Amino acid sequence: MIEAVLFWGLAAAAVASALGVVALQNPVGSVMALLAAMLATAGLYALMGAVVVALFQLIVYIGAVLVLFLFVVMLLDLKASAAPARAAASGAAGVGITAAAGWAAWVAASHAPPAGSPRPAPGVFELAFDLFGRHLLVFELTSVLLLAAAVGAIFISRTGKRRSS
Amino acid sequence: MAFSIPDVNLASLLPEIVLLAAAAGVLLFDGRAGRRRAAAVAAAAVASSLATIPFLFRGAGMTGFSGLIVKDDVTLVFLALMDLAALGAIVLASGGAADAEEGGELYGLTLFALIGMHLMAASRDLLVLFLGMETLALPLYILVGSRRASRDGMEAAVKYFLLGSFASALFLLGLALYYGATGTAGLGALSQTPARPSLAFAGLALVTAGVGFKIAAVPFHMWAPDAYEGAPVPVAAYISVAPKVAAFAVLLRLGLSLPGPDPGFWTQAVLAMSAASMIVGNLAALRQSGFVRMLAYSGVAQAGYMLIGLAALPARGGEALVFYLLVYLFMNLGAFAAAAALERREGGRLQIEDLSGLASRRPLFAFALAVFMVSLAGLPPTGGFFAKFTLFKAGIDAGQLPVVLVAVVMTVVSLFYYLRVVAVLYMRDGAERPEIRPAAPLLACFIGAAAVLTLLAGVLPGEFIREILAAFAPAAL
Repeated sequence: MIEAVLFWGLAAAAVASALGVVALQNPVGSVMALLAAMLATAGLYALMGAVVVALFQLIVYIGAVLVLFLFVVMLLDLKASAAPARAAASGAAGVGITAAAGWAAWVAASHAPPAGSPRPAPGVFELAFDLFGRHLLVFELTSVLLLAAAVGAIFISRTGKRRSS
Repeated sequence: MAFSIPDVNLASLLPEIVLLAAAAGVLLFDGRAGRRRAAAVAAAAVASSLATIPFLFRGAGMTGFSGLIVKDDVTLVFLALMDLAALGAIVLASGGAADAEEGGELYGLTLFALIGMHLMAASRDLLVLFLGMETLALPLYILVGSRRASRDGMEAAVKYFLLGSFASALFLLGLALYYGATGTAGLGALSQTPARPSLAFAGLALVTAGVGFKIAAVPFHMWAPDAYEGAPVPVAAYISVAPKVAAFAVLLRLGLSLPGPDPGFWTQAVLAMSAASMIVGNLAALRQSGFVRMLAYSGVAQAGYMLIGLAALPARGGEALVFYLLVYLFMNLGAFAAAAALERREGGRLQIEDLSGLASRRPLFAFALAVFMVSLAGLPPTGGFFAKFTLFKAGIDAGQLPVVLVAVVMTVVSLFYYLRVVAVLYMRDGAERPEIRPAAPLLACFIGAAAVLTLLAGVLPGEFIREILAAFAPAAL
């Protein structure tokens, strides 16, 4: 009972805040609505028992990605200039894509196996074993990639002449 | 759940670790003297990676990380080719313009890209492959835009970045579909018929498209002319050769993993890409007046020729492809080195017309450039002729006659633009052209060595092919 209430509450919050992302005029408001949508999704994950995924959703998307969004939006200092650009065509495209996604979700849901006892969602231990066992190389290579990206970002964003050497 | 420690065998990645240490180390160098030291360190790291290859060659090969990294003889040949290309790019860059503002970062990024390519060639897993591809791509985007004062360079870098990101997204989507179809990201799953064949093939098609971007095959070639022209010439030289070697290593691995010799869907796609690249690349190259832009379209066409090797796969296609890549390495790096030597003096973009009468003033230089052009066109007695010959022969033996006919016709078309350069060099009077200073000694040596090797590959092709054949012998069995 309490699960059903939580689920419908979180689902409604997710949909409402997702609508807010596209409907709000103020870009900062849009980002805050996205934050609410992410939080509600994290709650849904937790409700499914996928605690690790919920945690990552909090740490990665809300902790890092959204803060970055917020920085960019505030740095760009967007006025309400985007409003007239929202033409009917892009609205129609949005409705169309949403309808297609909804249809796909409906098909997926109707073909889903009957609710039984699902496999237990992997926890931190299983994830850690996988990450440092089977995927050790991939895990380590990611850090090489990030190092290369950081070097590149610093190189390209350095302004002006270097100090005279 | 028991924790199984993977069979790491870190020695299998020793060259890459050395390269990584050097890549991080050269970032510490600064200023003009530092730049020279950075070039030396980077060249030493690449040379040490190159030096390990003869010891491993014809050995048992190296396996690491429970089979995620496999360095067999075929892989080692590809690694040697890309190390040579990186060495060439470092030599070209070390004679860079004196007012360049960058320190050791250029060499660091070059080495990062080389690490990515090593991983691409040595991995048997799409996930590792993807990370290798990104480790290759990100430094290259930056390198293309490394002359930040130039608007063209920045524009080229942004174009390259956007199209490259799109290609990476395609690859990633393909990886997801492949994983969904086979339950693994390893390429070994290709040898059996997957449970959901259409899904697996859709994934494979997207993966091939993502890799096809790296070789600039039509229809994924849009970035090449702008990126080559906007980039500093040493970077353009690097991009034109090294990622092609890595991407062909991947495509060869894909092709060899596919079951059976039957010309299936993948071969058809490769054939279509090959024919389109040859036609579009050669016809577009005809109309170019800029030297580097002409080389860019020529590179698209050359990728088309090389794809024939993949279409001839279970048979001799692999050897022919590797031999072609080897000769391509010499002749293309040589042509770009010549462009680098000239561009520095003339300022601005090098036009083909600027080469007028070069033969009477700098006969050796003009001769080397003519050798590269004749070899790219595929005329004897240069390596380019034998490379094309073995490739076309492999194609005919595999029953891919139509695409070989397209290749022959397009080779004739390509004679016009390659030999136009030679004609301008030798038959045009360039008295009004500015005086040309001699090239830097290192650059001159490099151009000379590339020209000699291009000629040697044409005079003694057997010596070059034998080692490649030996590498492929176990794979063919």
